[in-house]
Amino acid sequence: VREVQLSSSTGRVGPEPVPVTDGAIATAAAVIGLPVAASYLPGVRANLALLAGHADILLAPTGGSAC
Amino acid sequence: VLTAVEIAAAVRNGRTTAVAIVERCLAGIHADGNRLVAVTRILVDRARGEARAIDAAIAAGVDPGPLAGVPYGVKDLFDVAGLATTAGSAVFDDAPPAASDAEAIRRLRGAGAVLVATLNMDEFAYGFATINARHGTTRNPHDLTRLAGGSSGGSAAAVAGGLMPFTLGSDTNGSVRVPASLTGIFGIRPTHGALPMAGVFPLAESLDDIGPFARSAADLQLIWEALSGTTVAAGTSPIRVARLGGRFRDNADPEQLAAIDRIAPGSPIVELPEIRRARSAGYLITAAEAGMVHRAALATHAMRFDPATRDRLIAGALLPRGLYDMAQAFRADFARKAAALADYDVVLAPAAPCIAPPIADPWITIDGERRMARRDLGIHTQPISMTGLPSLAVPLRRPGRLPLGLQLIGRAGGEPALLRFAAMLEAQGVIGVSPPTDLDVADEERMPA
Repeated sequence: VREVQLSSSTGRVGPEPVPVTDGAIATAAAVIGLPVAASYLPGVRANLALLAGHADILLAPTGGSAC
Repeated sequence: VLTAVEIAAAVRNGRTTAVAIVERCLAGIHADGNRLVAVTRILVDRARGEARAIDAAIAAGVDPGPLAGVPYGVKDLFDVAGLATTAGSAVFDDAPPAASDAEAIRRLRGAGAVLVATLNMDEFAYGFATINARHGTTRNPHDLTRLAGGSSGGSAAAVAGGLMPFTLGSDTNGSVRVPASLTGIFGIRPTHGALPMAGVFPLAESLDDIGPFARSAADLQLIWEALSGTTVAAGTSPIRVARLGGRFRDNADPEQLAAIDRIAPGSPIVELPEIRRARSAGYLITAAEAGMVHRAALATHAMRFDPATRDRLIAGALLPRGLYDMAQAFRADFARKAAALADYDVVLAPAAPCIAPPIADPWITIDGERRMARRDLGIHTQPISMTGLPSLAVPLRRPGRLPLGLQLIGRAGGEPALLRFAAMLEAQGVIGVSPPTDLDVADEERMPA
């Protein structure tokens, strides 16, 4: 059983949230040493939003609203 | 177009030579002029050398193997000795050449097959559409204005278009089964880990498998036996069949459902629990593992990636580790629950959810919403990848119409039963390859999928 914390993006109980804001993306990228150019941010943010939707489905016992 | 079975028989009994077969194949590829955008490199010298070796073996009284002189191609992520393994990306244009062939190619060479080409794919196999910034978008041989599917789209189009009798692809979430379905040919994702991955560039290693494409069940069986080192025995016991229900019967073409119900009328409808969560878990695992593979390259030369792929990979690299672990834990539990399918030899489900979408409008409808084809064509294949079970994509026989495919899902190690069942359906005329023709496509099929 994994220790969990509240996800700020969904309010559901789950692991660390998927970074979806520019600040959270910058922090996550710095942690792994991956520079993300400003021009890449819109595309990266959109993909992270999609992944956050899949995280919502995974973490919700009955499945979320995204496909 | 000769089948692999026909070519091997003709070469082995001396009715033709491997050199003649390979020259005809090479001429066909050149004549096509990359109309399909399927071929990325033509291996003329290597192919001629391998063909001469086959003919020399026959002349010396040595059996060159069950695939004697059969030309084939491989997705651009298999190591080919002397060539850079590009995985469909400009990022690896300058990579050092592979020192040796991938293990799968080594096995096929040992069986007498002749490698003639490398084939187009989504960059790093990350997509269901074979929209490739480096080489272009692979075209569907049945309608050049439509997608061939992906990520092994070049491998599928080359077989469906008659350029070669079989090819190899890889399947993480459906990258063999989706293009097989959209181009109307056979393609198998094996039991997870059943075929060798040595020398294959990864997308998401914990989910990746390789698999062949072919134009008939008999060809696929011959290739399967060469790759797996096994023999598919003629079965005598009845094949127990079920239909996969729930979400697999939503978002399917009505003709797929009608075909499933015709094939197995009155058979049990079984359900896998939590399909949507399974697909999401697969999506997250793939993103995280793919991001990990490319993290170093993204840090040093992100500019060389296709921007669309780059942004997906960066996003994957930024996923929290805890979320990845939870997705893998869910996957393990899901696979345990899917073991209930082992009560049946074959479980029927749709493959791709629709006919091939137009290249100019690469969207599909899922749950009443428009979704990007390159991301969502695997809605019915991705959950099966999470089970680790084998799945054989087969084409419904519908001459003159755009292809639709089904999945025949088996128990672990159950590929022989899938191949036997496919051969039976093919003999009955229910499934089978229809050659691309000047299609009289129905009006509704010209509408965006």
